[in-house]
Amino acid sequence: MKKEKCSKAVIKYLSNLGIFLSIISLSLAILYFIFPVNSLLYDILGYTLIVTWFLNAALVYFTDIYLNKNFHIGKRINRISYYYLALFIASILLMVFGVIFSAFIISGILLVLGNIMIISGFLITILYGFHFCIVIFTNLNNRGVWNFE
Amino acid sequence: MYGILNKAKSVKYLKHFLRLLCYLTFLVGILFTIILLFPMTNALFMAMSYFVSQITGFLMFLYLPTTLLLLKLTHKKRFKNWKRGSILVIGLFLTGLNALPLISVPVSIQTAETEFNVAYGENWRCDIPKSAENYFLPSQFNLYNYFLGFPHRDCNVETDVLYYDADGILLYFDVYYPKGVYSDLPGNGSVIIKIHGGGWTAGDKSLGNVLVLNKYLAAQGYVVFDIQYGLFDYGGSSFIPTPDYVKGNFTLHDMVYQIGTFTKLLETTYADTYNANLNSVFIMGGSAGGQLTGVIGLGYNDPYFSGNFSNALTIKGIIPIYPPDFAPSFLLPGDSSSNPLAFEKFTPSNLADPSDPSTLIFQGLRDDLVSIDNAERIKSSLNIEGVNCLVLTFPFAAHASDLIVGNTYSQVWLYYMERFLFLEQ
Repeated sequence: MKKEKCSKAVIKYLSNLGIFLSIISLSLAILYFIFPVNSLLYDILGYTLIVTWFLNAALVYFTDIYLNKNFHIGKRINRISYYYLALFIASILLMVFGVIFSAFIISGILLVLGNIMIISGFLITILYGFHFCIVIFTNLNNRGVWNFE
Repeated sequence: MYGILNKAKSVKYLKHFLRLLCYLTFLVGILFTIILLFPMTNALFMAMSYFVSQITGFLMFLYLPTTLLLLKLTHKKRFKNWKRGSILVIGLFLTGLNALPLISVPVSIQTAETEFNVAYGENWRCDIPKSAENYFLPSQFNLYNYFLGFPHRDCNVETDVLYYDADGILLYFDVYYPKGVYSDLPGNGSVIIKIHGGGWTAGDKSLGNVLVLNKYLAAQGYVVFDIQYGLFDYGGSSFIPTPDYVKGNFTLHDMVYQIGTFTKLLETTYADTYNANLNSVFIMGGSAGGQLTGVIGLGYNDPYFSGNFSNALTIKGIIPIYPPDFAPSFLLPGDSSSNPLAFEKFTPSNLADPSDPSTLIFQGLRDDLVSIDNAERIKSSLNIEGVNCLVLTFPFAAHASDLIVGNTYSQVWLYYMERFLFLEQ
């Protein structure tokens, strides 16, 4: 009983933190994309970004353990976690190719394309991660969704 | 009923396909991690190491979701625990090992700090005024530049300016110069001559010569000349983009002569055109360009090269990046016993004398092509002559690890390089 309570608390804590950090990352990143200067303020963005990614990965892991996939909401959340992982992988690839691309292009449409790849990759990871955290958080108290009840 | 069965079948196939993709990612990940950690002799793996070591931060975030996806796809009921356990262990190992270059950043910073303290004294930062410091990177490393890319700085760029039309080749340069008033910027119109790498047989200005860095330095007040020189045509092809019009049967003598011609044109023509300050000139180059940087920068006043370069230029510093400290035998007539003087004079460490400019060297510790011995030889020969030579080393950095400016090595490198340029100008 104690272990189950603890698991629920961990998932609640991770989803809460995920939502909070996604908002911080998104706000700072929008600021950075508009004013791309080197500032210590953006150091926070760097840290929140990777902590958000790690937290969401941990949330996917715990969700997979405790989710009741026979229940229709559980099935839906499971599907969302699949989409999140697939989109995360695609976004990382988009970002890495964008970074490589923009490192070798001097100007013009190709440089813009490289930057679009980076920005869209970042937005997908953060926005879909945010959505995933919200879905987990709002369904945490729903009966039948979790195995720790 | 038939539709549901069909859907179930498609989901099954999709899961099989995803599992296959995940296993493939793991295999590629294991290969990349081996390339990152162990010395390679195979040319293809060596070329791969140039890029792998620069993107490991992204790779770790590729292996982590792949591990989770694979765990989800290998359901507890159908797959044994040891199989799921192995997936988790391999995935976490790949993620952890690829985090090593990021984790090792403080080591690079510590090495650089020590080198700067030895060369300029412990209070070297006091010599940089706040007005200049405002233009520099505020910290040695940050994650946002790594993951979101290093922004291109605004400057004037002129490409493909012809400076040499002889011996059946055409040589061009690109020039990057500031938009603002030079004297307001830390570079103050100082000149940087950039020489690209490519094993003396391949490579090009611009694309192959870290153009993001050129723009960054120009925005700081430097006039950056990114130049071509004649390459030795060995008849083969290279994966490095190389224009045909620079290829010929050129020796190191020819290459140094062509770059010498550029210095003379800089004095007579380009200095006025671009408002370049010839009293403060730096030479920078990577790999083969690093070797040429060493030869030109340290041999500028050597009688062997007398008359080759403009006398109006004052070389304030040189920045050889992973420089070979030897003269390749295919680029000089004869060999070291029949032609000892040429081999001696085209080896940077042999050219050290007390009048040489300060030197800043970038050296990756996982460089299988040009090992650290080369940088150490140059450093010790210069130190013996009482000349500052700072070697910045980077764990896990392979050859050409400075090409993506936002990566773990380049950020630290740039932080110290811009300060070196300011202190020496």
